[in-house]
Amino acid sequence: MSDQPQAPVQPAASQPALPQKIRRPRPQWLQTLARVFREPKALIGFIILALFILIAIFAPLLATHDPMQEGALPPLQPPSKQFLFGTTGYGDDVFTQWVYATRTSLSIGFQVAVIATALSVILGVYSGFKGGKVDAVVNWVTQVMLVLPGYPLIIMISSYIPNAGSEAIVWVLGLTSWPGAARMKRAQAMTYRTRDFVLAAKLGGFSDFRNMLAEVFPNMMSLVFNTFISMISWGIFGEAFLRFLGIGSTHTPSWGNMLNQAQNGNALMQGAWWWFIPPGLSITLVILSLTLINYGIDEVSNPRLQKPLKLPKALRRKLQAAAGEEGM
Amino acid sequence: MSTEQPFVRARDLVIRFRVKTDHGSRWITPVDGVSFDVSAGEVLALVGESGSGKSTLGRTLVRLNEPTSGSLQIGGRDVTHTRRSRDLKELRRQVQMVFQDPFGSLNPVRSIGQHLRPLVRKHQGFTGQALEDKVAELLEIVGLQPGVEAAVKYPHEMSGGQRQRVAIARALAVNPTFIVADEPISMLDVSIRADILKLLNRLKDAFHLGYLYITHDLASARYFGDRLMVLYGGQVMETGDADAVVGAPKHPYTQLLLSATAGHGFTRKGDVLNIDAPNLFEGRKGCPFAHRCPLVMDVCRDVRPPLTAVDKGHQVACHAVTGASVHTPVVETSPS
Repeated sequence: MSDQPQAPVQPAASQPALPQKIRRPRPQWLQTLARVFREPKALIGFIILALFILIAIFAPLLATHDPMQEGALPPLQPPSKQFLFGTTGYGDDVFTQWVYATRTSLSIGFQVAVIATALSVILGVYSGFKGGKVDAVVNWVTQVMLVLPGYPLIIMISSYIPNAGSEAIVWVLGLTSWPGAARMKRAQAMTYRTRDFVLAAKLGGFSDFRNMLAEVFPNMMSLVFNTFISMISWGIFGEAFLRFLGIGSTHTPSWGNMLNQAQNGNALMQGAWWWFIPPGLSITLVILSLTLINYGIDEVSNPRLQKPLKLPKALRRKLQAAAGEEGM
Repeated sequence: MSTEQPFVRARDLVIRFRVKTDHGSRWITPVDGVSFDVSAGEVLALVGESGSGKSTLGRTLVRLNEPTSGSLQIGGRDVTHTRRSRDLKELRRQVQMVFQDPFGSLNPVRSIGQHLRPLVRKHQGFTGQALEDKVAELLEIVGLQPGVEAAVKYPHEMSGGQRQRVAIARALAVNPTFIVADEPISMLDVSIRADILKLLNRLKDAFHLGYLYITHDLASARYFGDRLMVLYGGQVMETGDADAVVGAPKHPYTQLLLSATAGHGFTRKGDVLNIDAPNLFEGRKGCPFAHRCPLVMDVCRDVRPPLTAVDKGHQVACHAVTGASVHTPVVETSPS
């Protein structure tokens, strides 16, 4: 009797003897990021996105033909060893076009996301945190921007820019897509304005600007990241949408331009599926991957979405039976 | 202590807020004509129930609220209507605040060291290794040993009591003369409340700090407070030395509060008429406690009772006690 409890006690007693060193925990955002990567949905999203990013980065190495050499190849060749994705009706190599289009579309997506996210964070956090007149003015502008119908506005602005290149498209999309996100950030910043830790920082004699940057903004990282991801997909989609309508320069290779050409070249009628499938599928896949990443972030940052602990089947049965007996 | 100028000197402070009602907006006065002095090294305990204006008053001392009228002098300077941010910063170098909720008063994404380091650097001018040492020293002063280890922790790794100690360390980092402690122990576990109060007491002696200790717990107010001020509906009901007020409460509201304090053994006679919240709207008349008071008289509903001295340093605002009226009280009270 007296021997039994002693055996398990001994290893426990030796534990405090271990040298205790001061550990510096990983910052919380790193821990969160690690958890996002462990989320299967987000992981799939990251893998798909990484694939496209790699294609975009190594475009010149992957391209099998000269992208500037237009109309020099036999038109409407189905996929073969020489033309991996076949050729277009205008005599271009689809694979080369697609590889360079990936580069254009992704970079436009990222640039739009940077502009829109930065604008939404600056305007949203500033107006929400400051309140008063600043907030009234910024909020009024935001509401006007929200009320204006998005697509017609973008089409209208774009059509005023003759032969709009990528940069023009980036600015048009970036400058029109911030209001919704800014409103969200304003609402969040407003809830932080009266939190005790912000008041305490204010009492510490720090400026509002420092408090926004150091106290409020780090707390909104998941929201900012979320906005950034959504804005990438919006940028890619918006670019494809504008190009498909034939707005802007048709000479830059992009997924939207490829679709536009396929449409104009009657690809569907001629059964040239290899012409429009690569850009169409790419848009779908990239937006899908970004959506999956967003879901992953959401699941990590929102504790209410976390799945309950999976219990062993026997235990679950037992609990169910017990609940049944209680008449629940 | 009586010879020196009080550090905080408030006279007839009135704070108004606009509230929206069904019939348009009206003004409420959560703090209505409150006067008090607190010297450095002295603790004034502010007692009252929810909505009595004690937190509003506390936040006014650090000028998170601006008084509507009256005057507020802190450290010999009039800060009643100070608006310039440089002057406010100067004020907040002297007066700091400890918040009620230790879970909301620390930024979840910043480590404890990140909370304290900018403050110490800004207000005490330490840099480099001296800064790290000072932060660790501060944490050890508030009882977080070893300070070096506490500094690398994040708020979610600490208990409520430890967080409140960090909040106190943060207030100390500025080297203040006065601390507004807004219910610093009410959200803590009962077993560690006394420790935090002892810590505040020790800091008072070590740094010659003055406190405005806001609480709704008369027992802790008596333990920690040198003087006590009972607030109801934004008005001072009774004020005096803590022992005198708790030992021989004169005002029916203080008696009611005391009888609700567990373990005190004080019971009062007379029924409580109702438990409605006091009317805070501007233009109210009479004593805010009249609708609940067992000693209520006609005069109570019309005339605001003045704060009258009943003893040395013990003032009460009650018609029934100070006998401002010819009417006799309805019920006799006898504190046991």
